[in-house]
Parts: sequence; structure tokens; C-alpha cells
Amino acid sequence: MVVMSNKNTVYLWHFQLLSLGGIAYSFWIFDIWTILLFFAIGLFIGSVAENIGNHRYFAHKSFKLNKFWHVTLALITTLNASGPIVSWAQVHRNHHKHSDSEQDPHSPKYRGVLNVFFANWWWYSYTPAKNIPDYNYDPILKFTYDYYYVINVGFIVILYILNPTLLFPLYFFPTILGSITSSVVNTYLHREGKPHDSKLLAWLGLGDEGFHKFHHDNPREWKAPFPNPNSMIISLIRKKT
Amino acid sequence: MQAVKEFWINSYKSDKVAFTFELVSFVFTVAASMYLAVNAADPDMRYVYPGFFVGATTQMYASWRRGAAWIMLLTFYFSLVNIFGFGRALGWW
Repeated sequence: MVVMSNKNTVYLWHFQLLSLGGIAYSFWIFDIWTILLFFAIGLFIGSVAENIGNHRYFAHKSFKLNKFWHVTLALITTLNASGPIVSWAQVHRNHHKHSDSEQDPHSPKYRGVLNVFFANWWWYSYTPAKNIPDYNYDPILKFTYDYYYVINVGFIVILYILNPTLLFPLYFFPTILGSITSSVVNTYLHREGKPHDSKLLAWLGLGDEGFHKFHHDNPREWKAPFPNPNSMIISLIRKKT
Repeated sequence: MQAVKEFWINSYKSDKVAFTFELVSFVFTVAASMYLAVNAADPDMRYVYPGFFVGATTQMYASWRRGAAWIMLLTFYFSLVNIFGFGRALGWW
């Protein structure tokens, strides 16, 4: 069963809207300390999915993982609902290839700041999956593409049935916070038509992603010039060969 | 088997938007009823009513598009009663 067809636009708003609703609902039923705890857990999971999974590992192949971590990271990343992994990777590789030019798929200079900021939330374009090499040679990535909606809906339904409270720290918050980190990187750290570094944003939760100019200068380097949780996690799970 | 397949294909082709809303309604209603069944001894109604509410309102819209009057009326009632129950669960009234 192919749930995602080979169209060139992927819509993200379904799960993002659900997650926004979930976060709004959390303010009604939880106290502020519980919400702050969910925020911290959500930022951590969202960062692992978006920055370590989608960005460093699947798009740039900056490090290698064994089978277990490969599958685990593929699932965590798919459940962040920022689109199928192969599509994200393909868009990001185009971004590096044509950085801050008219061909850049999310250049704030040429496509508008709001359009780029919300592209991570609503939709983005990519070439058909059959033209993306990862889709054809990695069965795990093919699976996460073909069953993108089934995986996300299945996870939400299972958590809802078992313990709905878990939906907040494990789905709603990570989905939104992961998207926000990417949106901030794609807009603020690409202001004035060039990549920037920001220690402040690195401290505020972007970690290694805060050093975006450094990343564009060294796309496959996963060690940022700054101690941060993402680099530490990568050094723990990567295959040291 | 072919008749069943054609039934589903016709349902989709006759109104793709309604079909999508019905799918959403199905997922939310099944999830909420399963939660209720699994936690029948002590269900947290703050999680049950939102699930049934989304299931009822999406089906109501789909029924309106398809012109199914009684189903639309029934799901309109479900939507209202779920709002009422939700308010009771949260202690609003």
C-alpha cells in the first residue's frame, strides 16, 4: 500500500495543526511546571529528530550508525512530522547546492521570510521520490516515505489509547518545537542573503545548529565549535569505524 | 470482492473532500472509543470528549457535503453533547 504518492508537494499542516491544538489544550489541563517539563522534553526530542536525524544524519550523512540506531532515528525523525525523510534531505541538499540564490528552495531573501518560516509547518516542494537516491537504496527510508501518514497516525492513536498524557511530551511539543528550530535557522540565520552564526540561539536551544555559517563552510562536520547536546549524542551513538 | 472495492472507490470519487473528512472522523472516533474501552474502569473524560467531538464535527461536515440529512443531524447532536460533556468534565458547568 502506497500512502504517499509521487507528487512534488508534501503537505505538513495536518499533524502540525493537531499538535498546535494539543499544545493549546495543554494550557487548560496542566499546570505551568508540567508544561515547562513538556517543553524541555519536546525541545530535546524535536532537536534530535530535526537536527541529528533529518539534518546531520539523513541529509548530510555526516556520521555512520549501526542498524539499530539507523531504524530508531528514522522512526523518531518521521514522527517529528516535518515530512518524509528523503524529501527533507532532498530539499536540504538543494539548499546547500544553491544556498541563498534564486534556486535555493527556502531562501528568505528570494521567497520571503514568512513563506520560508511557515514552509516547515504547511508544505514544501521536492522532486518525486523515485528520483531521490536514498528512496531507492535504503528500504527503511523507503518505508518511512511510503507509510509516512500511517506511522504518524498509528503512533498518535496508540499513545492516545494507552496514555493520552504522553502525547504532549512525545508528539505535540516535539513536532512544533522541531519545526520552529528549522524555521528559525532557515530565516534568521539566513538573513541578508547569507548564513550567520549565533551563540545566543545556540544557548537558547539550537545547539550546534546555531553555528550555521560554520555548517555551510563545513557541511559534513557534525562537531560544532561549541559544547552542545546534539554533538554529544552523536558522539555516543555513531559507529566508530 | 469487486463490488466492495467499487463501493469504496465510488465513495472516494463521488466527493474526495467528504471522503477525507470521513476518514478523519473514523480515526478520531475509533481512537476515542478504544481509549474508552481500554480504560473503562476509570476513563479520563478530558481526553474522551475532544476525540469524539472532532470525530462528530468532521462527519457532520462530510454528511452536509453528501446531503445525508439524518446523519448530519445526528452528528450535529453528537457535537453539541460532546461540548456539554467536555464542559462538565472540566468543571465549567
